[in-house]
Amino acid sequence: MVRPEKTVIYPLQVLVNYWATKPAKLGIKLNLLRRQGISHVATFVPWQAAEADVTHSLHRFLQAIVDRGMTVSLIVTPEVGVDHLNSGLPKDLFSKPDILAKNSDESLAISALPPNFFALPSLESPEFQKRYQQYLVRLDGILGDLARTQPKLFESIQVILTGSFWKYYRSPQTMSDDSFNGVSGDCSLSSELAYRHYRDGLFLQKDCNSQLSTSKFKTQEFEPIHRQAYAQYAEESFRLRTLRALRKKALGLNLLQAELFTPEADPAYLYSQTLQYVTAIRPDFPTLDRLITESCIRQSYVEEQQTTPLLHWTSLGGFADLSDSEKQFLLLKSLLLFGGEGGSVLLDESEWLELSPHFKNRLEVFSRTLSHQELKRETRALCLVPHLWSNNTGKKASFWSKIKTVLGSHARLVSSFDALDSQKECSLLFVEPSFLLTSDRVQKVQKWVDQGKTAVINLQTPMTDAARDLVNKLTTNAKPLQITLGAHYQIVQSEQAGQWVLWDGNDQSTDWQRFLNSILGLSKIHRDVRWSDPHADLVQLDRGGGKAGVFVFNGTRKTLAVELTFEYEVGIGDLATILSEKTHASEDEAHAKKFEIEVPPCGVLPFAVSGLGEEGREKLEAEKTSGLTLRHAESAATSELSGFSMADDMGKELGVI
Amino acid sequence: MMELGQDWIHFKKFLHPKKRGAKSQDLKKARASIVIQNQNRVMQVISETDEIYTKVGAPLSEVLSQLTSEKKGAVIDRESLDRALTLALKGDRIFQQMEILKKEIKPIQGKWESLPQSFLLKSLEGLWGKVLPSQFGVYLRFEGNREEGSSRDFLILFKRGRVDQFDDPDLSSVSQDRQKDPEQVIKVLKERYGVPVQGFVMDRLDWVEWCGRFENGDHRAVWKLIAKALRQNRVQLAPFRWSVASMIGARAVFGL
Repeated sequence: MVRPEKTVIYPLQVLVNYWATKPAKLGIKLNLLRRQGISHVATFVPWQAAEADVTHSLHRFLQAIVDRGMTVSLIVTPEVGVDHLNSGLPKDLFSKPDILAKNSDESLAISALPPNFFALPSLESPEFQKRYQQYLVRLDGILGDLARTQPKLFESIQVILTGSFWKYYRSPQTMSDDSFNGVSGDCSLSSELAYRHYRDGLFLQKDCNSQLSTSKFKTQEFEPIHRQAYAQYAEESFRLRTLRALRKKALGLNLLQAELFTPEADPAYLYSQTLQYVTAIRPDFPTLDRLITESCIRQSYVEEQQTTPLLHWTSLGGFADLSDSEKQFLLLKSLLLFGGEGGSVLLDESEWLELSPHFKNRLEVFSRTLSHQELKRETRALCLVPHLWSNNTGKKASFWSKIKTVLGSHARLVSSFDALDSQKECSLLFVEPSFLLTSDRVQKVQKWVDQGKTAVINLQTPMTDAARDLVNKLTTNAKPLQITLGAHYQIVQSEQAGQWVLWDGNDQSTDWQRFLNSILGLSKIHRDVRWSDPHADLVQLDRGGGKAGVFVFNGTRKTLAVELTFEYEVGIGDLATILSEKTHASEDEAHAKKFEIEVPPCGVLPFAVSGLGEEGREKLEAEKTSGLTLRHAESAATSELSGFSMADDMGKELGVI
Repeated sequence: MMELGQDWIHFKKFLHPKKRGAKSQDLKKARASIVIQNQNRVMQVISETDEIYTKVGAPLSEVLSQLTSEKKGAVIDRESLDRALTLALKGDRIFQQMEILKKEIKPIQGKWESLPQSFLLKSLEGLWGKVLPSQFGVYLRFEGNREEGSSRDFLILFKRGRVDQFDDPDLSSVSQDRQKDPEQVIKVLKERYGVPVQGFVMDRLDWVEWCGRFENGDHRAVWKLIAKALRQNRVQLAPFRWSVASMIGARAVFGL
């Protein structure tokens, strides 16, 4: 495996729990990984282990790493799924019951992974913050000392900051296929106080300053909207506080902002995990599968930069008890989805060692390709929501629930306007009606539209008076185009060839499929491929030049017959062979518009597809014409020149072989 | 006295080892389903049957007939799960918390298969627990075949007849020569953790075979195989205690 450069991350990383490894065995373990070609590992730094590190185990671990010419990523933010008592949190934190976080239904946010069940603390509690800042100061001191005394060792360290527990403050009680349904966030007393303070400040903003706005937004109707916005704000503030604390002494530290997700510790998996301790039922594979997809489409931002998405498979929860084929399915799927976004999958070292050599080789091939960005997950549409871990539009129709079924992994849920600046290639934006639009926000969307892109808003979206004036001006300044395709909506063209789509409808009056297809057509977004069986899942990763890697996943327990229908005729071949042999293998391609395939249970079929998009279609036609010319030349030469063979030297010299 | 800790990953790998390639066979086992209900609606499903997943949000009555046709279908109430989870937080460690869950979580309809226990724990926490000291340790060591990177040693400490701590013991202070002698290792462990320790030295493949047979319900055969291995010196007791050997024998012959 290659080492990560600064802020670059390898798509598959092996986790080593240094604090749980006996000193005599640490070297043996690292040597074993080194022999397997691993030169970079990751580890959590459990808060408790770092504070009470009388044996200097972290320093010894780092020394062992650098002695072997390896590099390491240290995940220092508190996280769930760490193989340490209370996931590494100091025990004294739990002495005060007020410190615990509460979900929106007043229940405790529980982590049920070994070595013990515990209730997550509130990251906003003053006690937690005080102790956490002390820990960060200590950590900054340790890293600062390393920078001063052992620069070589310091150079081999990458520190990863994550979003911590925020996304896990959700009730497990959801009767939906969306694990993030409802309003999530910490509702403990300390968080409530902080929320009220935030809300009071919100009403003093320029936009809300008029009496009308203030009284309107103070009503109960707007409470879920403010809460979602606050939950996002609190998470971003926590990240910034952590970042600032680590930049005091450890100057030049290689810091990476990441969004780490642990499906086995997710509230949606809590009941399944709990029943694993009581019954002989097999692990809940479909939920783990679903959680990968739901997490990879959420994109967070810190300091105007997109965070690196990470996914952690622990050896503590249901993943360890899955069958080999189920594990391989989840690993491949998460690797492609997270690695395709520049992210990474973290796998415990004991799980890595148990993988078969053949499968490790397969993972290596895909990891290498992903790290060279030869396979990339494209973003075609953004959906702006007030909180990344909530999904609540109240009675208003949600764009997200529809767009994710149409565009799948090509759609992204974002809660930051920074996404609008960073997603250069994406051309379509939906603003969820749970997003409170202010004049400032409308101007940001206008900037997006002025880049020749499309923005879709529901006119029922709450707006301040100033924002409403700006939106009204759109229709008065330019004559809108009235369209009825699935729903009635207006298109307002901007001077820079972008467009606003203003829609004032609801679920009942809208034929969503027709409506969304018309919007996609308007913003020139094509669905390259459709598949016949909804039980199958498909991930398309871009390879450039009209080529893509198309992966068909069957997460069910029976063989699926799936028909793939492309928009135009394409060439299709075996991606695994192409990647491992580094050939183009165009001669092995089959050309058609429709393909019928059989996907075995827990199977992942990778295809290399060429001829996608305008550029791809042109290339494919050129290749086909060149092949035809070649065959004509061969036929003419064989009939005219006696003894001519394509296999002889002359044929080779002619460059036809 | 030193704390041993709780290494769950190694504990599971030692006490529930799996043969390579055997895992995929699990899929062919009987198809069990558990439905979590909330106010008579299906809230969540954990199942080996794909079709039942489409019933999330449906009235409970819609899945009851499907569940009863399966031999291992059960319904559990969401509130009782929440209650059990809150109670489990009162326990300090995972085993204590698991005990609470086992006591509190019961199906309201149908039945399920309980979590398979290791034959070693079942015996030590069962009848043997009544005659053994209130605190003791069991040291397992594998000789011969081992997978690369896997541990050779494991120590489990019992307190009042229940598992208390478990981990790969730290033998870094013991010289390599002394480490080769299990009885020397036992002496060190006894001093370090302040409890009598009984060691078992065996081949990993034998251990995997016994664990697998027990999990498949062949309970009596396991102890017969262990007694036979003991007679053939394929299992070594460290130190050799007649009392332990006779307990194994009695279990093999009379099931005691």
